[in-house]
Amino acid sequence: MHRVETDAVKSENGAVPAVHRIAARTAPPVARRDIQRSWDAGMWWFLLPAALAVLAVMVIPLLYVIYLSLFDYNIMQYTYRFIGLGNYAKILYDAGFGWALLRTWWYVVAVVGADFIYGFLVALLAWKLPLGWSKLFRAVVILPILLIPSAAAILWRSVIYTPPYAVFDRLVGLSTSVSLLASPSTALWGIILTAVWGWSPWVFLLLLAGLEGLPTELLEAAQIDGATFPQLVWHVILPMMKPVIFVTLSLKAVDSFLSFTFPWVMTGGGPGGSSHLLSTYIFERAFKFLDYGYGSSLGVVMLLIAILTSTAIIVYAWREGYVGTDAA
Amino acid sequence: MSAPMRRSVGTLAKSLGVLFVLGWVGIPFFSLVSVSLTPEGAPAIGLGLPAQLSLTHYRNVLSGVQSLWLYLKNSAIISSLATLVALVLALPCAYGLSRLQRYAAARTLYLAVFVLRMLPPITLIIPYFFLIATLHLLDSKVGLIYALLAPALPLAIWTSKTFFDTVPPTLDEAARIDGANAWQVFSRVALPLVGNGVAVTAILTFLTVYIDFIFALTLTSHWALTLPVYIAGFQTEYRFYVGDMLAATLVGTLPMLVLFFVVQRHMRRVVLAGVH
Repeated sequence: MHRVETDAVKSENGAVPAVHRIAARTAPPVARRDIQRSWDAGMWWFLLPAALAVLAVMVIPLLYVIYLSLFDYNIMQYTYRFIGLGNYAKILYDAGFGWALLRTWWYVVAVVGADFIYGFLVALLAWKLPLGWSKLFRAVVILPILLIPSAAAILWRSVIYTPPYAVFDRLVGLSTSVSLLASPSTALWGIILTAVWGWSPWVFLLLLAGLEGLPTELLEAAQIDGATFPQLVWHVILPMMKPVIFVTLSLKAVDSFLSFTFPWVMTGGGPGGSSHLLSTYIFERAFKFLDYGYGSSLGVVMLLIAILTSTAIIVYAWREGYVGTDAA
Repeated sequence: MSAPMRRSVGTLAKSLGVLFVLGWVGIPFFSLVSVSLTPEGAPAIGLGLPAQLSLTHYRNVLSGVQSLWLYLKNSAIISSLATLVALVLALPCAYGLSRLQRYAAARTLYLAVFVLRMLPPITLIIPYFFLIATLHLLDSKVGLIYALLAPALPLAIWTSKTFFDTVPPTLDEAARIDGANAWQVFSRVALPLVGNGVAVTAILTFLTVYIDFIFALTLTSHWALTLPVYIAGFQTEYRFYVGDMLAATLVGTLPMLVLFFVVQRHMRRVVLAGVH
C-alpha cells in the first residue's frame, strides 16, 4: 500500500510517467485486447447507480423547473396557467434582474481578485516562513473557513458592522452610528469584504499547495543566477503556477457566482434591493413573493449561464492539461 | 541593494505581513469570543473584553428552551447519511470512470461531473420544494438528504476518481487473471488501496453538506432543521440574541475543526484534482 502511494506521488511530480500512458504505448496482443474489451464493457455498469441518482436528483428536477417556468404560477395571486415563454419575455424588462446580473458580475470580479491577491501573498509568506512558524501561521490563516458560513455572515453583520459593536467602523475610523450594510452605496462592499474574509483561506490553501509542488531545483537555479525574490515570483513562480492558479480562480469564480449564504444572511438583498445578487434575487421572487413560475424562469437563465461558464472552464482546463490524470 | 540589506527588507515585509494577517483574521474571532462571554445587559464592547465575563449565553445554548442539541443532532445525522449515500453511489462510478478513461465517452462524462458540481442550488431548490412537498417530506431528514446529494455526489465522484487513478491498472489485471470478477477487483483490490482517499473524500463531502444553508433553509422548518439555519435564526425581527448565536457558533464549529485538520495534509492531491 505504501509503495503504491509513493509511486503515485512521484507521478504527480512528473518524475514517473502516468501509468495510463504506458498502457497505451504498449499495445496488448489481439486476444488480450478482446478480453480487455469485454472486461471494459462490464465496467460501464459501475456508472449506473450514480447515473440513476443524477437523473433523480438533477435531471428530473431541472426538467421540472423548465416546465414550471412556462407557467404563470403565483401563490399570492392565485394564478396557475400556461403562458409559454411569457416569463422569459418578462425577464427582458426586469431591471431588477438586470442590475442583479451586473452586480453579480462585479461581485465575482471583486471577490476573485481580492481572494487571489490576499491568497497568493499570504501563501508566499507561509511558504517563506521558517517551518515551525509556518505551521502555526497556516493554522491561523485558515480559521475563517472553519466557521459555518451563515455564522460568519451573522458575526460580520451584527458585530463587525452594526452598532453598538461596529468593530470595523471603529477600526477604520468611520462613524459608528450606522452600519455599512444599511446604506445602499456600501452594502455590497460590506458583503464582499466578508466573503473575502470567510472564503479566501481556500484560495490560500490551494495556492500554497501549488507553491509547495514547484520543483525546488529550478527555484534554486534562479536564485543562484541572482534573481531577487520579486523577480523570482514574477518570472518563475507565477508562470509555473498557471495551471493551479487557473483552476483555483475559476472554481472560486463559479462559487462566487452562485453565492447565496453571505448576501442573503447579511442584507437579504437590501436596503432597497441595492445588494441583490442573482441567487438572492431569484430566492426572493420564488420563496418570499411566492412567484414560482417567474422565479423558475430566472432560475433557468442562471442555470444556463452556470452550465455554459463551467463547461467553457472545464473544456479549456482539459485541453491545456490542467485537470485529469496526466496533470495530477 | 546589498544582500544583508535585502534580507532585512525581506524580514520587515514578512513581519508586517504576519501582523496584518493576525489582525485581519484574529480581530473578528476575538470579537466573537468577547461578545459571547459578555453578560446580558452589559455595555457592548466588540474590541475589548467586557468588565465581567459570563457563561450565560453558553448555558442558554446548551440547556435553554432553544438549546442547540436537536439541530446539532440533525446536522450530524443528515450530514453523515448524505455523505454515506453519496459515497456508496460515487465510489463505483469514480472507479469506473478511472478505468474507462481510454474511451472518449468516459472522459466526457468525467468532465460533465464538474459541470454538475457547478449547478446553481437556487435553480434546484424550486423543483425540490415542490417534489418534496408532493411526497410529504418537507421538514424531514430524508427530504433534505435527497436534496444534499446535489452538491455531495459530484464532489465525491470528482475527488475519489483522482485517488483511483493512482492505482495501477496492472493490479486489476493481476487480480482478474486470478479469477476475480469486476466487482471483486473493485471491492477487494482497488477500494482497500485508496482507503485514505475514501477518507479524504468522505470528510470533504461531509464538510460541504454540514455547512449547507440554502437547502436546509428552504426544505426544513423545525424537526429536520440544521445548525447553520438555527444559528442564522437567532436574528429575529424583534430581538437579536448576539451572545447566544455566537456561543452556538463556537460549539457548532468544533466538529469542523477536527475534520478539517485531518484532511489538510491531503490538500495537494485535492488541488490537483481541481476540487476544493
